[in-house]
Amino acid sequence: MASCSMYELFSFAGTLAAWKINYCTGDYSRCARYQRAASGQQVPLQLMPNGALLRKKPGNGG
Amino acid sequence: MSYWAWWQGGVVLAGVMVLHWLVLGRMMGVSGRYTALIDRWRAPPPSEAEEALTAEELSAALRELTAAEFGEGALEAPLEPAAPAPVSAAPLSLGTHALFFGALVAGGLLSAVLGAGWTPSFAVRGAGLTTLVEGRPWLTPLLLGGGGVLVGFGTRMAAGCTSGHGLCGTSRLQPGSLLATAAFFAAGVGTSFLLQRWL
Repeated sequence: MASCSMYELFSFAGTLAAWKINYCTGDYSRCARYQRAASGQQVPLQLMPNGALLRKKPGNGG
Repeated sequence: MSYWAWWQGGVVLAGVMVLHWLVLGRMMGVSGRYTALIDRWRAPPPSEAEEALTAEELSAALRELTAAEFGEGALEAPLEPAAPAPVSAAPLSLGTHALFFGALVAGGLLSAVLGAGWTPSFAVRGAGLTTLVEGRPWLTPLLLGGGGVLVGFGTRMAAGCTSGHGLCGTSRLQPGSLLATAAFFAAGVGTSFLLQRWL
């Protein structure tokens, strides 16, 4: 977990604690980041534990 | 031969760690940087190419995904007291990596010149090791290279090295880092003892 940038993020922001409780310190085997790392694949920095990717919200003005 | 006092080294290391956090918004970890550099080389599939997000965009995206996964109530958890700014999840540029590794080498060189002096040498130390490599010059690079491979393997296996776990993790009292650092030191002391005892 020390090398997971998302874990650092979840540790510092109290509003994101649910991720840490449910994935990092809970059943981490279902964490998409863990699964990728464990299978030797590259882990995208913006991959969330549930498999979603952090992306910009579409802008209003195109 | 004289080295810097232990407390001088400690102050400098702590200063570098805090500076790294303030400038880049993330914890310092040398082996992690090597990994990030190699990962950049092994480019991700185009569909997963990471787009750079500003702090505001990152915060908005995180809130949206958190609410979608756990409900709006999860976002009402109070912030931890004096919580620092969230770390950045954006990949660092190649220039930033180059500056970091350049500074790493320059810093080591500077401290050597200012301290005990710098004399490049591939010689191994210790009576036993000297005897072992005597007449076998090919063995020295093999030992040094083999040691480097073992260190690299260990840091990847432990998900961090003496900077990531030893400096940053232990100062944040992370149990995994405390355990990893204890293991580093125990292995170092044990290996040193064995080398002195039997070589």
